[in-house]
Amino acid sequence: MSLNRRNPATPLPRGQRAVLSIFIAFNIVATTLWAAPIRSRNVRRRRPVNGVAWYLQWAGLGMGWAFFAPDPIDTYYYVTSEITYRDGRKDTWKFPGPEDVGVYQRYFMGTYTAWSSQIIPLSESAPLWPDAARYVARLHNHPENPPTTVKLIRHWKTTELPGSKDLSNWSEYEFFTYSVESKDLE
Amino acid sequence: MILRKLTSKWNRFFFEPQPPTAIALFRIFYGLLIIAQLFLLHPQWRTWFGPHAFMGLDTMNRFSTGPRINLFVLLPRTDFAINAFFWVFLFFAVCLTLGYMSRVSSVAVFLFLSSIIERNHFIANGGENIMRLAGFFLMFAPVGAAFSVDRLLRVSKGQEGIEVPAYAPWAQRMIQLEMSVGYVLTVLWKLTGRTWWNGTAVYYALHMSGFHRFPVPWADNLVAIKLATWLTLMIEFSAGILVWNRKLRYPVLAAAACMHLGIEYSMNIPLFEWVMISSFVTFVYPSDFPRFWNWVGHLLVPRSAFRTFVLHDDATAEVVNAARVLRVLDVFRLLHFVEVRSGDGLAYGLAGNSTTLENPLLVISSRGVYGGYLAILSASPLLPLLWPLSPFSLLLRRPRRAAPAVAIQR
Repeated sequence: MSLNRRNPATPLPRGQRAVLSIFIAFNIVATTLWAAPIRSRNVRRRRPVNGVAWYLQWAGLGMGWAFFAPDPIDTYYYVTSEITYRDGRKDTWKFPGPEDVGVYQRYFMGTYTAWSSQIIPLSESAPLWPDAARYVARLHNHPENPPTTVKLIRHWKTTELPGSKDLSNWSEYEFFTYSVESKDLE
Repeated sequence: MILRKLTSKWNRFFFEPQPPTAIALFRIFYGLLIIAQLFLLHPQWRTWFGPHAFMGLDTMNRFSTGPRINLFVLLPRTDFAINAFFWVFLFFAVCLTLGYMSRVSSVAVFLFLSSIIERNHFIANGGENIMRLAGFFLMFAPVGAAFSVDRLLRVSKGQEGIEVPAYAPWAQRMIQLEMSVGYVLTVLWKLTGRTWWNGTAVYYALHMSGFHRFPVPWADNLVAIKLATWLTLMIEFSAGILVWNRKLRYPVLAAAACMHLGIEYSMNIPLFEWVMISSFVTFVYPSDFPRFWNWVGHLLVPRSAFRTFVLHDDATAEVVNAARVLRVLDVFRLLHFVEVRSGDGLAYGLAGNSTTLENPLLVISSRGVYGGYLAILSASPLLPLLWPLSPFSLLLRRPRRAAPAVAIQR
């Protein structure tokens, strides 16, 4: 591409350098301001209202750098589901998580870690719950005895500092109930 | 005056041509990481991206605002299409790693990676997002200019010489800048939290059940935890700022690499640490690569060892180009090239004697004399890009006749 290739003796033409310089400066300033901790997280997540935000999101440059920040998560979640079938029988199913597998398999569980412990249990993710419940229903579909209800149950435990009062028992809360329709099982 | 100086420095930093070695190596690491990511996603591919995924495409679209790159919206919602997406993505990732159709592959990989992130951005981890960010600038970089099949093809056709052309490094600089700005920003974010100030953040990080990998002996020792917490902030800040100091660059990168390896050991955050470490190659000064190659070369073949010669008779264009390709492949400068009609050939008593060569291209090593494709195979252990072939070189039979090799080794 002619944007780069040049003999050392012949640098890029001035016009090309000027255009690239504007592009470079714009990207540096925009990505820095986008990711800087100068706004609340809620504001950062709001619907983009201007072209700069759209460009950054479109190009994948609008990433946050808030890793383990402002503080590492101190609460671990996992989710189970209770499936009720047409004949009244009940079954439980745990969303896969890294705690269920060995060291090697954990490499493959990064997506599940995010989904089952950091997304689905949280109240902000309520719009995702019907899809998650439908997925569980499809997974447990028996044509002769289909599931009628799926309940999602959140389990959590808080990490306590050593020496502090141990409050680290698992808690649980049923946070969503979904009535399964026949079209959900197709 | 000041403005002119600043402009001059800016131009030198972003546009002064330099060898594309670093960005080409980064392309290889990047491609390998994309392949690794696909390998990790493969068992759950349809669970996340299929027509009956955990989260439907329509639900995701309701969450996504503004223009997004998501090729899934163009695909039929069938298992076949979703599986085909995977294999085409893998194909381009392999092409990018090898440097074949480099520009097209870099664009394709960016589009495919963006698509899987946008299909379900809730499951994308920091590693994927950083790969996407780097992938954006990689599209503009001369990724196929070195260590690539593209370059070998150009050299073999006589379109390019042995020396790699220099390029304006602005795209590589953008990757460097994004990384260093990222380190600074992550520190600033952390300083808005309580646990990074009181020194307990690493304790919580090491005790996050879902992220636990291998045991850390000092994980409950608060003194060690506080040291680790504050050291993390110092290293990250250094990786953002001090990395631009020439003397401190390598120690800072070494410290950051140790930190990332420590996280890789203790926490299960697939590929994130490797993405960060691989980006460090973009910070290596171009002048340091030849020194590094020499060092590796001497490790592979000590100075006292039998030298490997390549005799070539440049009577035909094919041989000229084949010898050029071998020179390009010879990253560690371990082969000694002798053109039989040149001064070198004369020095070895070969000039005008090319008819004695059984083949216009011979490789003479401690194992014997080989011609044609066997010559390239016999040299493969010394040529990094041909290392995948090197096990087959062990199958080579010793030739019965070794002349004129004996004369060469005087």
